[in-house]
Amino acid sequence: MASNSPLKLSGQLLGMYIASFALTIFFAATLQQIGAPEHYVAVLMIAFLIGTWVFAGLFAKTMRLTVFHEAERAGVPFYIGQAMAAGLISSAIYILLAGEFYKNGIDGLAWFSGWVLGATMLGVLVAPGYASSRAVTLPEMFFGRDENRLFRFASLVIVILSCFLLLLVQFHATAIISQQFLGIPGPIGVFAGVLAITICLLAGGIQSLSIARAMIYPVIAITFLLPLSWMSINATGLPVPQLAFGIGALQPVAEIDAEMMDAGFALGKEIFSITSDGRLDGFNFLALIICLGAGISAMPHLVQHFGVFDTRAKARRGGIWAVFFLLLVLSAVPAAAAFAKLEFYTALLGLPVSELAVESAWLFGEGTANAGKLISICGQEVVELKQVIAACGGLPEYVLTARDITISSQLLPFAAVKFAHLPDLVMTIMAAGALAALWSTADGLLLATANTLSQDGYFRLFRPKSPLGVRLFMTRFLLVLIAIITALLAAWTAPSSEFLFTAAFAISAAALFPALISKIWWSGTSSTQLFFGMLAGFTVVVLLLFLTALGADFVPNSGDEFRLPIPLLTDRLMPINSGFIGMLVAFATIGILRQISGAKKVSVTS
Amino acid sequence: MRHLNILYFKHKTPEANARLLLAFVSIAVLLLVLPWPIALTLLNSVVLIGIPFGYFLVVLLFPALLVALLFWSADRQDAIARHLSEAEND
Repeated sequence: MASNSPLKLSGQLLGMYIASFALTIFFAATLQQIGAPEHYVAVLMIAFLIGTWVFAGLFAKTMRLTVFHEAERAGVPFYIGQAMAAGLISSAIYILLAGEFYKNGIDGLAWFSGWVLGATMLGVLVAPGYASSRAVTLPEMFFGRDENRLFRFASLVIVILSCFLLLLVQFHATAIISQQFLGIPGPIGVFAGVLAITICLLAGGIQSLSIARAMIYPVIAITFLLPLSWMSINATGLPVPQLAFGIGALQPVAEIDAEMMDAGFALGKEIFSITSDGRLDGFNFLALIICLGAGISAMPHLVQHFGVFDTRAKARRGGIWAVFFLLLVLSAVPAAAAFAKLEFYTALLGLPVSELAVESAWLFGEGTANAGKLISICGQEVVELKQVIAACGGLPEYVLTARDITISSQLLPFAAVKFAHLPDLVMTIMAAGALAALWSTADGLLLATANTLSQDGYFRLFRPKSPLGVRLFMTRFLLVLIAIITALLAAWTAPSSEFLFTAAFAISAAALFPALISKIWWSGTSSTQLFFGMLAGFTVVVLLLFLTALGADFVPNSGDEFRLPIPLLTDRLMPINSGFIGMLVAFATIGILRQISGAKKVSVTS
Repeated sequence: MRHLNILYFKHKTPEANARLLLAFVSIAVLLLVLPWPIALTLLNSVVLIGIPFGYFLVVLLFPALLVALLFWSADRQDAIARHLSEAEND
């Protein structure tokens, strides 16, 4: 019965879990104090994360398919909102958003606004409709019990493709963060994550996933906000980085900029000027907000999570809590960029290159203390001082300016912590929080992929009469299979995270969003109209992605990509905005087909 | 139970009120999210607690207003849904 659902116990669990997290941190600090090897702390944090997912799996285990798919529809909006926020945060704030604010100034706002728009549309426009449809997967939502196998197969492929691309990004980022900040080899980090997630999902499906994500959200928020609050207190005495980064970081940076200019030193290319124009023109800027918003609000792993609610009202509230919890973390991202800039300015600027080893010895540390990979000086990755001096023209007295130093914008929050000379433990905790964010997105993607393959592939397409027990087994089998394939691909290949991320959201925006919105809000849209709309959007977005992101050699960022101007609007279509064009085509296709073939007669209550 | 004034347009049906509420919320959300990042760069010469004003609005104030708006509208949508289901039972 739903009254006994483990989801109802989320509140009590959360309190105990936060206490156990605090104990783990205390234990890690003690280990460090007594001089235990550095990687002990990293292993402890990874073990804590694995334990989180395994515990959630065992706590909410089930042998019933309906519980595995819908968690008895017993979701509590506040806690599912936390879980959704954990899924929404993902790798993006660590590897993308902060770097955008840092490198491209105002362009970061487009990503920020797109994220907020996506979460909002998810809660307001999608969640109530999806919950009331009683569907388990997106293809089921689109086509219900429609027997047309082609429609179902096509939507299944699109859903799986968008999930799989994003899943690869999460695990690839896991490998990088494990390697660089926890001193654990990338493949081991990936397999640890896959193991934890798979055990959790195998045991309880979406029920375990909801509990794991709801528990992990505070860890993600604390580990991201704590270092920033620390820096904020150091700079201004105020522990709220969202409010303090202006006086604490932006103003000092502006003053140093002015001093450097007066002293005749050039400014760097990567200027975190909040008022800079960025590189996006007006069209690409607005299209990016809309495309990212549409892509996020139609991502299968987020939409399918609303299947745990039994009413439209609860689903709506769950979505709105997700926006609230997302914004708590997201609003601090500009602060991460600003403090990174300040710390970088005060640590390195104006320093003779020969003094790097004395004044900034931390750059040349070993293991997890090695921050060299975060920056390059005079175009040279910081490994040995001799190499850096040679790269800067062989002059030991050469004074470093902003132009000589490039920070890895992909890992900017970590750079901020490193430059601020916070204890190594803080860096390790932040890295563990980043892994938690990555895994809490990956688990949803993995489950959405397995559920879609099992429910719409195996059950609807091949074995419509298979019993519930067999379907549950198939879902679990597919889950393990996909987890292994993804882990192998992420651990031993080096995919372009930027391209995969772009493609996943563009496909979701162009193919899934128009179908989802038409299905929910345009009553009478038939399966045929949805299918052709989806197909048109998908075809256009794939074609445009090849042209704008891959080019003739099918390799991202190789320089042979097509510019694809749109007269009067832009000189160059940004790859992710292929999704925007695809979305317009898909909506137009559905609209034209409705005009030609008419709307299906239905009785609808909204 | 708290009493909510949900029928802002007395001459319209509750269903029409629900649709109008959603339309209002959608437009308000778009206004809070969409065009401002570009438009407000003009305001960035004004600084509030060290943060350029346009930036302050987009990253801090508008999101707060957005969340408030969403909770406000959710209360009203729920009330309209209750109103409709009660009418159906009658």
